[in-house]
Amino acid sequence: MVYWAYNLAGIMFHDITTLLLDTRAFRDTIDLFVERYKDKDISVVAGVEARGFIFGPPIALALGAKFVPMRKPKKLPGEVISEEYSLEYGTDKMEMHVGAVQAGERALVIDDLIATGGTLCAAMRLLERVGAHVVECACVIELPELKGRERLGEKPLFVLVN
Amino acid sequence: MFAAENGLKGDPRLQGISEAIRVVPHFPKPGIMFQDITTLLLDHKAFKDTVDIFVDRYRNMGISVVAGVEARGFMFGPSIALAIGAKFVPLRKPRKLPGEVISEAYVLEYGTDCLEMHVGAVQPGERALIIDDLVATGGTLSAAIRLLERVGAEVAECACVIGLPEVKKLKHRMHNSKPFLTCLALLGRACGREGVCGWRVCLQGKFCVMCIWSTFPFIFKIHHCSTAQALPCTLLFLFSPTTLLFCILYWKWTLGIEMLFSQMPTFQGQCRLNGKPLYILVEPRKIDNCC
Repeated sequence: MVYWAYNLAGIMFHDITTLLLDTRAFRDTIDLFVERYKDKDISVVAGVEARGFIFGPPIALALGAKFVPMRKPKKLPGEVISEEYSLEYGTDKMEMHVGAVQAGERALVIDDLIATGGTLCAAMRLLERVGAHVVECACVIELPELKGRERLGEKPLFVLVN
Repeated sequence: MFAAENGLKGDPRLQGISEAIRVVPHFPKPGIMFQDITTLLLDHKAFKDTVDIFVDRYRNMGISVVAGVEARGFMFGPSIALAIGAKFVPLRKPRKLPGEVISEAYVLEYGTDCLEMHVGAVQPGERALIIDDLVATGGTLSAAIRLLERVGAEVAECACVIGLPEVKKLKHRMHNSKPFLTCLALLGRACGREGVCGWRVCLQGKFCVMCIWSTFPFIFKIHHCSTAQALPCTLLFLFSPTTLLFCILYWKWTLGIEMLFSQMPTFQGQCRLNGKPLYILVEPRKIDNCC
């Protein structure tokens, strides 16, 4: 963990793309998440567009779970549900497919980075609206000064590096 | 080109993958039958089979870079990269990647778009695989190929889960680049023999070869003639009605009209994009798996 955490510390702009260029560090990142969640009976891994799409599917495949993309408006075809969330200036929307997640499923929300927590909160609300139970939110990087953890309230947050 | 024709004929996994794909009619606009892979991602077995098929194919090809096209290429690329021990490089829409990037524009049905890659992500000489969920005209994949080649990487193959019918017309296509070489390929089309550089040369041999050499000596290595022979050929080539016709056709082509180029002869029946092979798992679903 120290090895790739050191790598990560050298990343400018909290840009995870350099992590993806280091095969061992990327492998370790996924393994750490899988190790944490493999016995938690997770059936849904929800990844937030677009960098959540990079970490979510490998984790989902390793856990035997399905992967559900949470996308910006008008990207998902067919019937969707929407959740609005606030940005620094204005609002944005996140969408999920109707029928992708069933009531009672145990879900993990994944994104590369948590800043204010707005997108993660929106993702959680979408899952809870269809009756899923969000076990945890997981991110590679946290920007603690932006207090995203507080915005998530009582929902647990797991972060690899802050 | 298609997995079923390339060693996976009758593989039950392909049927499972095909059946997991959903068709959404009239998305994003009327008349388009959208091939939705999100239902594939909900089917753990089908999703795993998809990744496994790609991993089995590319494991021993010396690939060190998997480049995924935003955003659905991100859903397949990283798992493949992890399994084959390659790095994952995201190819993104403009202004999404921080830091220094290189850009490549490509033509859409209406207008143009742009694909970007980080400078320094890929080193010269690396072997790359490009992955996306679906290929139609090949415009996006062509831009991706050009990005990687511009930094000196070698694109081993382009891989997609679904290939639309238009892809079968991608025989000898060049997208928005090397226009004169494409014109020359048309010139050589009437013949049957492949040249040293891969472009077909005239059965008359000397005439076409001289035209090619004299016009672009820095590209081709065919030196069958002297300068004295080359000069009249150059003039004949540059001012001929054939050349004029080629220029008009190329002009129309860059406006997005694919006419004559879709009828070009193939390299042993294989589907290629900018000269790179294309590997596709399944054909598009028909209406019966509609939402």
